[in-house]
Amino acid sequence: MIILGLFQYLTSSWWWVIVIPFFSGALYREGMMKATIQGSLIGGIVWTGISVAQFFGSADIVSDKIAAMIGIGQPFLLTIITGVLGFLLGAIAANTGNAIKQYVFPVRQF
Amino acid sequence: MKRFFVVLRALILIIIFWALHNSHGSLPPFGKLFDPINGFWANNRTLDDIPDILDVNGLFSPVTVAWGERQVPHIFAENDHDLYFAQGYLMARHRIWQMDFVTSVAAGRVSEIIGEKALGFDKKQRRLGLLYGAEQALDFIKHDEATFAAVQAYTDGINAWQEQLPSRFKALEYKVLNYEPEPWTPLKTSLLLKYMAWDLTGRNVEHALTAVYEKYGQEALDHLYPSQTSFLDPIISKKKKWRFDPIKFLTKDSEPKESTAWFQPNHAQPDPHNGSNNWAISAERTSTGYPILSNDPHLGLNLPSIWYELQLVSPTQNVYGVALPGSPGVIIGYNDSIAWGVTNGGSDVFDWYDMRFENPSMMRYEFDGQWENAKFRIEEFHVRKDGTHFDSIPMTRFGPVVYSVSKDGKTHGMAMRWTAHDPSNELKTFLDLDKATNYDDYRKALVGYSCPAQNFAFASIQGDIAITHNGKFPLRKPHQGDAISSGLDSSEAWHGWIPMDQVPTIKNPSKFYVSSGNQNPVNEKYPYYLGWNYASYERGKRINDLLDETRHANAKNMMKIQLDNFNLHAQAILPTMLNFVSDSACSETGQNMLGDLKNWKYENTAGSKSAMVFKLWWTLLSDAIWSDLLPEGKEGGKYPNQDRQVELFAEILSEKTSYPWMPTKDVFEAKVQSTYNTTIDSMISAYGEVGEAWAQGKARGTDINHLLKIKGWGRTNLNTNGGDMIVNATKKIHGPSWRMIVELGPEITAYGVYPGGQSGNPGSQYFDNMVNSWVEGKYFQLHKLNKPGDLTGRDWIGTTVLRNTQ
Repeated sequence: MIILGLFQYLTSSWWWVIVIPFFSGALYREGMMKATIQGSLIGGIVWTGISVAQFFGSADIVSDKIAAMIGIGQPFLLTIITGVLGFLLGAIAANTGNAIKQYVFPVRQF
Repeated sequence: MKRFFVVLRALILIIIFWALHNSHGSLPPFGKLFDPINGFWANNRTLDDIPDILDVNGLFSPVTVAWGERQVPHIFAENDHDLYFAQGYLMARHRIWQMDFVTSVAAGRVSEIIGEKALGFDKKQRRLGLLYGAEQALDFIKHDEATFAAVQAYTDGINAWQEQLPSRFKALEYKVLNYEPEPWTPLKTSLLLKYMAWDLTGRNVEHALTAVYEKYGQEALDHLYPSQTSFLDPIISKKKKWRFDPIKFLTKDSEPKESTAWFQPNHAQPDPHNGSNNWAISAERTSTGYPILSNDPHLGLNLPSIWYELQLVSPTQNVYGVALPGSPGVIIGYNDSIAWGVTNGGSDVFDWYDMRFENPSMMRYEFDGQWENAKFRIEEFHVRKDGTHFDSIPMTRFGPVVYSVSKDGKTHGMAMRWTAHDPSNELKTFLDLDKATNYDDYRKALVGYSCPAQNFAFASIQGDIAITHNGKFPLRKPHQGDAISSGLDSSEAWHGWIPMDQVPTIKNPSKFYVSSGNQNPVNEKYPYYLGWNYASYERGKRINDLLDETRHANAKNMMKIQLDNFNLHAQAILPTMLNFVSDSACSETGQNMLGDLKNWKYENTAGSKSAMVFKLWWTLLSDAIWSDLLPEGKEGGKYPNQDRQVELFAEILSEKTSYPWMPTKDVFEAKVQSTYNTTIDSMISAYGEVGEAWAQGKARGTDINHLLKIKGWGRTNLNTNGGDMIVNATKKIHGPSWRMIVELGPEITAYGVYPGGQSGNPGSQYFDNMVNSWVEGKYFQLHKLNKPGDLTGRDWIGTTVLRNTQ
């Protein structure tokens, strides 16, 4: 999670929320379900945490504006949307990463 | 099968990435936008924080910036280069997207941002020649070392900011529209000035007058659209004697005109309400013993605002006022010695010429019996997601061909002659005014100013006041250029220019004040023809009436005048209209409203229902009278000006004249009654039975939209006073864009407010923090400092030092 936040900050690119969970899924040794949950938590917690901190910090006015623009009544819903987006992206990326790893490096059955 | 699901998963991931990374139609790129570190969340109030030190590359010496409570920068530099560099840097910090976007609009580059749907608009912009004019002007500016040095330093300052800015903090609009900022260039500054020139002189109704001419002849034009009305109180006193020998020029009779019915311009015309008020009062009439100057330019209201407030201090100047984001210097303001303000001149500097081409290739056009070669200007459009498009624009001796038609073996083009296409350096005037110390400096500064022509009001600490209707005006025969001109020969070409020392001006008039409200600057004694389509007389007259009564002027009573809501037009025409409404022909609501209208004191206050009803009634009556009689009607036609209509209605009622373009008295009377009933029905239909919803502030209100018209980013339904052709010219989406009052003296006291805020960031508390004060008619005291430390207490929110990194 720290790596995700750091990379996003340093490179100003949003797609680390896909890349980091993807590799975390690919490197995960246990089952796909657990890898997916781990990825979703990485994306979801980082994006929710930061957006909530922003919302209650100094992003109140910009939240109002974006909420009005996309037609949602409550600006706080933006933190939920952000979190859900992070959660889903992390989950899908980790799941894909894990599936590719399992395909390329299948676990041998003895 | 396993491979299939792996590939499917990978594909889904790639599609999701693609979908969230790109914009789709009007949908923003949601992945980028919702990124909590780099997306919209980053455009928060922390961007308002004021740093103590900023290291920048490009300064000769440190620059100190004291920040006023509304984030007004007071910039102290040791030389002019650093001053304009810092101005560019700080304006970019607050307004870079606005600057970039407005100049993209002017340049016809919107399709680079939003794609193919803006290509038609862009092509029209290029054909109108804003980019062409900007290039011409920039080439000319380069010959003036001081002006170009200011533009270059300003440009470098903007780019220094852009280079330092982490991409997470780029303006929110870039993120929503999913495009990248680009470096600023001097051409963009030139484009901004052309954009203003277009906004203030680009409105043209020659096609409508030509249609009237073709239907009724010259007599109708003379009757409906005179350059003077009996109400006129011109800017320059009627008593003024013109002590110069006017230039004489030979005129030839023009060729009989061919029909131009094919010409229906469909480009976006500037708002007809663009105008302003300004005045200056002599020391003899002020309580301070020094002159006072007031100015409020009326423009389209948007967020971010068109103005940016600041103070510029260097060894050559100490000036305070408002600047246009995208241009160095102060445009309206004051220094230790003088104050100045501008209103739109309104004189005609834009004519259409009907050109006859040899064939549809438009390679040659006829002029004075010869075929002349057209030059071609190739315009390139890099359309987002749609490659490169081209347009080839024929350039004639009169200017670019904006519209053309080939029919029945003939090819015609409509060429645009506009002074803003000529090489000029308007910026020099403002940079010189910023440094001016007396009347002579003011007059010198105005020389060379071309377009848009402005009424420059002036006051000085020496006690002088003056106003000059200033610009580059073509020499024309009376009424030449009111309708479309023939480009077949030189008979309707411009015959040269009114010399700059013969433009209308007046200094220290005996009435002790000068003023303007966009009315005709002169009466018929002025020896040159300037145009006819000026603002109706009401604002100018009302200001003069109020100033005539003023004996001990001070800032407070000047504010009262700027906020005056008296509806002179209603006073002039409403009693007549009410005479022809019969109680028995009205509904019950109509009868009740008649009582309100009869008792109305003609004040356009937010709570006034009568103001709202009168405005709608007048609009409907005007439509009903003229839309049937004048060709094209309201969809692009031009009714007589408001004050002329009042005169014409009196003429109709007197029954002394009869013209085919005028209704009879019976028809007029019937239309007054029928439009009153329609007005009441429309009000009920829109706002229900009579109640608070009928009040002007509710029913009309004022909307200050974001430039992109994004829902929720502007301030809407503001409960405002004022109205069209009222001194407080606040309307639905248009109004006083900056109110300023300056009491000159050893200690200058000044006040100002504009409907917006210093920041262009919609996530900033300074985005629209002055709007409420503006609506309430409140002003802020303007603190012009002598040194950065003069700003203290609640007025001061921080100090920044800009240091050179090298």
